Amino acid sequence: MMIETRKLKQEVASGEGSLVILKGIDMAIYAGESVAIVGVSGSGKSTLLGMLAGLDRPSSGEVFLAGTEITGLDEEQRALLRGEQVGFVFQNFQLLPSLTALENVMLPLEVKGAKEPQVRAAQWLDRVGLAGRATHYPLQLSGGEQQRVAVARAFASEAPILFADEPTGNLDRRTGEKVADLLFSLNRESGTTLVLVTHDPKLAARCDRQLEMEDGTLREVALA
Amino acid sequence: MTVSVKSETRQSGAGKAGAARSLALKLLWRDWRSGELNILIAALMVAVTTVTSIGLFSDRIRNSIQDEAGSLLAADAQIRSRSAIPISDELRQQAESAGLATADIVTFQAMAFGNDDALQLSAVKAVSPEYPLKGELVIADQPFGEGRSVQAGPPAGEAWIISRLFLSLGIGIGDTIGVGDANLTVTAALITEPDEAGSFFDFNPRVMINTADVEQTGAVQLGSRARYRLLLGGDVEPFKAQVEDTLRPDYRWADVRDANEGVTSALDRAESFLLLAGSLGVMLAGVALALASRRYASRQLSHVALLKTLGLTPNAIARLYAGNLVILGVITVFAGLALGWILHWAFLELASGLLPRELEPAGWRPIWIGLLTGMVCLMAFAFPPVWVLRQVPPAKVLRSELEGGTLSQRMVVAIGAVAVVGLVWFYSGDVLLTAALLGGGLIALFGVSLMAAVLIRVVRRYGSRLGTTWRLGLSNLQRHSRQNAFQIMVFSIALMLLFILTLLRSSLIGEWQQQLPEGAPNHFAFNIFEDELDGFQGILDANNVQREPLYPMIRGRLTDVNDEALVDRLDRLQPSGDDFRRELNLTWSDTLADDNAVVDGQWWEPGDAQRNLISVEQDFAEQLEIGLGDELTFTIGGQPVDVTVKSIRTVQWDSLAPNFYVIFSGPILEGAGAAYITSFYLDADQKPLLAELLRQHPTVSVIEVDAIIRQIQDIVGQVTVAVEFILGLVLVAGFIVLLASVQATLDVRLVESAILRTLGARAALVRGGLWIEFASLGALAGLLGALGAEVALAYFQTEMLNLSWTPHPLLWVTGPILGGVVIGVIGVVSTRRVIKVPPMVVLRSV
Repeated sequence: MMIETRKLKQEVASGEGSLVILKGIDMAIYAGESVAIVGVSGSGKSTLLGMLAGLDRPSSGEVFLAGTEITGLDEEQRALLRGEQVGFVFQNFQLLPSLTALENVMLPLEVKGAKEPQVRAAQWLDRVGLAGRATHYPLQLSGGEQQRVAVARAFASEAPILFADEPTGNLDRRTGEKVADLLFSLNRESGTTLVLVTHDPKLAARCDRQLEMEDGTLREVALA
Repeated sequence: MTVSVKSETRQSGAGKAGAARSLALKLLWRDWRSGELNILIAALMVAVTTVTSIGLFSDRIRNSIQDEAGSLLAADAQIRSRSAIPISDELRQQAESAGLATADIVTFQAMAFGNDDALQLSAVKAVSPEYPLKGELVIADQPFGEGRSVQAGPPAGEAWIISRLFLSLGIGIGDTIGVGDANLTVTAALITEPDEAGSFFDFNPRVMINTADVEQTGAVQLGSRARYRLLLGGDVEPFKAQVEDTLRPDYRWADVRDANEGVTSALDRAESFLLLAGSLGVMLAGVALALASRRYASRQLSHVALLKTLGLTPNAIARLYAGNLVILGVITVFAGLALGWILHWAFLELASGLLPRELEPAGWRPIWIGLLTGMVCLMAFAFPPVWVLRQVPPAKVLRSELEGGTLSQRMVVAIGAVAVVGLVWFYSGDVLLTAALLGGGLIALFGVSLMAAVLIRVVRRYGSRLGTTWRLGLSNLQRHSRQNAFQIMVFSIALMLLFILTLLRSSLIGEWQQQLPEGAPNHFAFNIFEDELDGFQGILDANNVQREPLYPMIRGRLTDVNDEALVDRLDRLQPSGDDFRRELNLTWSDTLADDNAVVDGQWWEPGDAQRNLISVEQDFAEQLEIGLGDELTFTIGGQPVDVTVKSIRTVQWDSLAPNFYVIFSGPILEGAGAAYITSFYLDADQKPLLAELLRQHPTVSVIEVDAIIRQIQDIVGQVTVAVEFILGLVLVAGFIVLLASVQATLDVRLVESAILRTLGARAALVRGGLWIEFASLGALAGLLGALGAEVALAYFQTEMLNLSWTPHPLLWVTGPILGGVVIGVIGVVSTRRVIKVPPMVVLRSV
């Protein structure tokens, strides 16, 4: 099992008392699976993703990431674990504007202290079809190109788990499809576990399983 | 699958650290290239540059002034004996073993004999061969001849006498002069002694001889009124600390500060001003630094969150950013030190025409202070916002509204205040000044932010009737009212500091120049007897010489205060100042001199001339605890004279007009035995008049103080240049604060303007709106700055600099206008991008 949660709960203080965002979620995702988390805006999808990836801490419950219970780890240890186990693709790309495309892809490799980060990053940039754009800065790239750089960066770390938060949400339909194609094909080739948050049913449909968030609870969507 | 987090770090720890560092440097380099760090660097640089160049500059000026003032003592310090007992050899040996150079002076009165039975009581000054340790001794080959500088006094067997003594003794160069029982050869005319100032009121003409000849004169015996001085040269402070407390009660330590009141007070004020200016400069730069660092850190928030998702730990984040800041800081601080040095050097080069001569070199202290200032600024202002970046929640990548990793404004202010207080304390070593600055700062902070909020509201309500552009600009002002109130606070404090310094500078320099205006008297004449008055005045007036009134003068000794013998009173009060036992110069006058002011009681009223009333100088009165109505007894010409105190006066001692501790309401002893004194101004061309004057009135004594006045004017000149220079630097610091402050809110304004433009607003409307917003901000800040400056100036002028308070009505007009224009221009120039660049680019890049 790659990811597992037990009675995962998240409450936040709000104006009148507390607001329960996650109401005790139990779930399991297996190695190599691709899973879509769907649901309407504000249903808590992104919050759940944050918990699964160890970006945030739940109010209570347990999260196992690659076999390690992470809610008990401090931020220092969780960061190290993320560096080893997790890659990300975000809706708004999250590239560092002051680094070139190539340097952005090198980032996770450098953080891990990997060997020859430049060579490996260049290879990944090549695989997403942007070898010619290596020295360009994010602002000089189109939205689709920026997201392809982000995909290259996510895979470059060779982490076993990939989290994607609305990866096509900021892109037009055609570009979004291209990026999705890339994401799924690379995922297949690398055998990574993919957890994808989206409200696009077509994108969700390309995953092995779909989980729907609704009112703080999660249920498996039966696939036709 | 289980992950061992710890072992993973161990395995590749070194490689990771190296990679993280290279990543950090890459980020630093890119941030620097993109201009992201410009303000931060500039602010830090200005702090260091200001402090370093102020330090170097004032160190050099101070050293030069000390050196110059030292020449007024002919040494760095003197130990003076108040009684006729030679300075002990033990003390001399102590001084010498402390590495100081020493020389001796013995002064005494002796009769000088010339040709044809001519004789004149003269003031003999015997000097040892080492004299003078400092300053210039100038002699001439002929009386009134052209002077040349010499390194030592007369050799044994020779005497140098002042020019007019040649006339009254009827002798020439090479003739023999009798000094008491000794016969010496006159080999030169004495033109100036460096330590002349101390002998202002040695009325008798000077004869300078060698100490080896003193015994031979027979004039110095037990009970005679000889005075001894041990001159000390070198670093006298350690020696002072060593011996000061154990000095015999009849010895007095005199150093540069005592050498000349005028120089000392100018120097003290200048130091206070420079200190104040330097502290304010650093404060301004600190504010700029804090603003810039906050902005830098806030722009890093999302990057930090991303780096965390990529596996960078909080410690690694802290190391990355802190490391970058340290690298940046160290480079900047050293650049600032270098720039500070270059600036002070360049300025001295530029000002070399204004400065009298080569300045003494500075010590290392300014460099250390600059370094320390840089590091403290870096740690206190720049570091905190960056250090807390480690706390940015990684989930911020998913939800940008998540908070964390920023410092509260209150915290920023608290840390900054502690640093400023610490620095000011360190610079000044003055708890009172530090407390005043802290208290004033806090009041300004709260007062100004409150008033800013009120003003914004008022302007918004009444200004919006002026049209669309105005409505837009003013609604901007209102919309960010909290942020704007903060910004007005920063602006107004910056403007306030600039106003304070600019105005203080003017009143300081004005005051100095007023003290020693062109044409200030540079000669004193005394021993002018009643029958010579008309003739003497006639010569001066016929030659259009500017002169002070002639004052009658008579010597007298104070014996009793309210029936208490002075001796007992002195024992009881132990006054620190003058030797009150000596004879005083007394005068009478019906008019109050321009440079005197009655501070207690009343100046003479009609009929007072017939009553025995006196007016006493304030310091003298305080030392002896004399008040209005007190009964004093003087012994004048052997007779007791009882008088009552009618007023207490202040006297401007450095005006170079004749001045007196005690002024009587009418002629003392019917004017018997009084001789007159005056002072007058001769320029270089009029100098030959002096010989003429003395030829016709050989018994009149004249002291030439033009050399001393020149020295004082040189010093004032140097200090003025220093003040101007430092003001310039502080202005730069203030400008950077304004820039940093505008930059701090730039992103929000850029986005808003871009949105307005996408909605179809014309460039003119957007630009006009920004103009109005920034100019209003600046005008409000200028108004508050003027208010704050007026209050602070009243304090500084009266309490710190001992100047009189004057209001500055012009400030209330120029303050708001200046604030509006400067901040309007900075604001509009900084935001010009929003008009030039397509709105989409702005929206994407911010």
